[in-house]
Amino acid sequence: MTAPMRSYLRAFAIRIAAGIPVVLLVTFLATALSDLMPGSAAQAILGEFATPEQIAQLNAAYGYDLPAWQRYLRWLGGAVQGDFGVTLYSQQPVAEVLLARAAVTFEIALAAMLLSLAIAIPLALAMAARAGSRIDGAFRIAASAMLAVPTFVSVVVLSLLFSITLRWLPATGWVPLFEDPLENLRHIALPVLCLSVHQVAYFFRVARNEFLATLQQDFIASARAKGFSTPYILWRHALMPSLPQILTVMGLSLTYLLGGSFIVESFFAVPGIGWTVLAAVQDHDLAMVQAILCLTVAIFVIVFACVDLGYALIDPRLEVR
Amino acid sequence: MADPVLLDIAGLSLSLPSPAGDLQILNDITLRLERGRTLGIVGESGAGKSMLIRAILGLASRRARITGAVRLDGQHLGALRERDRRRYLGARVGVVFQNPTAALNAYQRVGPQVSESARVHRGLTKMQARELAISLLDRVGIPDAASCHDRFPHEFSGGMKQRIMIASALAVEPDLLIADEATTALDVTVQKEILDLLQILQQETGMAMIQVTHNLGVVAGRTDEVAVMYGGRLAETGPTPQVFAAARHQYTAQLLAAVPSLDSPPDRDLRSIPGQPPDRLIGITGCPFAPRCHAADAPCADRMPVLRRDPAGHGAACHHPPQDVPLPEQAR
Repeated sequence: MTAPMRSYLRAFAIRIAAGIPVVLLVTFLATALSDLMPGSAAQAILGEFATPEQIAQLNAAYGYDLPAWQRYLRWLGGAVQGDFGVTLYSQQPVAEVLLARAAVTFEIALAAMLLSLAIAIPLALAMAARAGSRIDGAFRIAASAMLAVPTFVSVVVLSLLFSITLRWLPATGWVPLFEDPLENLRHIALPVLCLSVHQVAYFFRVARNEFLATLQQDFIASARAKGFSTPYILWRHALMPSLPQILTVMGLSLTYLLGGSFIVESFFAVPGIGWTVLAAVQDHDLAMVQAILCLTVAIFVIVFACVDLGYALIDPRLEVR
Repeated sequence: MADPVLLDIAGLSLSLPSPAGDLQILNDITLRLERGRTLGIVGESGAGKSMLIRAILGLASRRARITGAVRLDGQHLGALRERDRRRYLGARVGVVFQNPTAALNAYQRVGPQVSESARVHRGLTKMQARELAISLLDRVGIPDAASCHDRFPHEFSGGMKQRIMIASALAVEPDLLIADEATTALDVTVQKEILDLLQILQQETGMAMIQVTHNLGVVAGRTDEVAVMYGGRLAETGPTPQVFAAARHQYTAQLLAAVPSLDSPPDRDLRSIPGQPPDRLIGITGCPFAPRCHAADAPCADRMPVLRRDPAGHGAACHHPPQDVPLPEQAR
């Protein structure tokens, strides 16, 4: 292993370690706050005709009556060993269920991310080179319009178009990737498209402005004076210096996408994290809620550690520490 | 024998449309530069020096209206398609800009930046490009050039970065090197080193050079010809020794008088030209310097003086040259 490689890994480990207190704080607060949720888990399980004795019995059995800090320590003791408890109804291990759901969300998130970048970045480069032209103005207006469309509208419009009218894509449901890759692709297409509406517009705006700022720099003028073509200058000289800013918004977007979109996942009945957390909150499935929170915070910590290292990889002036 | 004239600028004017009317950025510039010679272009900020360079290089804004002709090596640049002009100039002209820290791409290693234009315009292989970059870095005085090839710009000082920029401008063995305020951002001692380097390189390669500057000291001993610009026009032009010895434009005379001398008494105020250069270049029919000129009278404000050159090429656009109306004595 080379020396820079080792220092990158070390820097990554330091950033992950620094994120641990954040994870602890958020999960503890979640435990404490569950006391404030209307209704109780025991009530939810036993139904509205349960006697106080039955409820007390169940509370004692699950430890729901313990003070928050004791419940938290119990949870933490299990969590560090990979045991996040069992789901409330099906009594399956939470970790196992959540991992399967997370795989679904991650697949959609990554696909949406790649699709959005593949559209937005080349377009932003092309428009930054023609900044102020009519076509640039048209794309900027289109991007603003796309950002203004709420997700609950885009899911309806896109599924009306692609599955009801054109009948190209299934409206709902899910087929795992390894069961039938082609069917899987058809099923993720609509959720990915819906998530990409905002992402494309967002990346386009940020990247276009960033490229535009880079194109005003002196080293671009020297490249022009050397007689290089505009496409060459855009790819070879303008792209890299604009990446740090784009990387930042990619990080923000990724944490949002990996957390799962409630609206998109529930509309298309995709069994991902967003769909699961909605069900878990309604069911008072505290173990599941807690595990999802823990996962979401962990994603934040990991993504931003990666973004931080990304800066250092892109910009030779930065040193990893 | 090839035509000795390398760069021929004939009646070049450039205007930019604006809501208030057309801004006359450049007005009827006529200049010639012979092979191997050095031309100094001097003027205050806003005099049009940089726009002149941009117009020569075809880098002016797309909205700019350009009339007149620029010929390089006999080739009328305006007659070329944009792509052809870009390639033609890229392979014949090197440019060094003012701020080397900003003019180098901080994200790329210096070696590839030095050889880049030769790679693009001459199709060098990676190995050839590397050899070329190292030899150029060595030539501009970068110590241990081979190991510097793979370093990044931020690892060098300002003066070293400017040397790297010069090396990159030399990669195509240009006929013409344009130094656009190339030493303005550097320490005074480093300025001299860079100017000396440029002179040595010019002697070695026989290339012509344009020194754009607002520093008369840069022009004084180092150029063959000088062009003094004011308000987008050529105020005076001619062989440098003659212009410095006997300025024929009041602006040039004032500029030269403003240069502090070691002989002047220490308690004397520094001489300056009162007023500001024109900022709105719209609807000026007379001499642009008239509002600041002690010799100006009514016709100066109305009628643009014509620049006439004597056989030596020395000429000025001034109704009342300093020979007729001497500079006022300086107030203590």
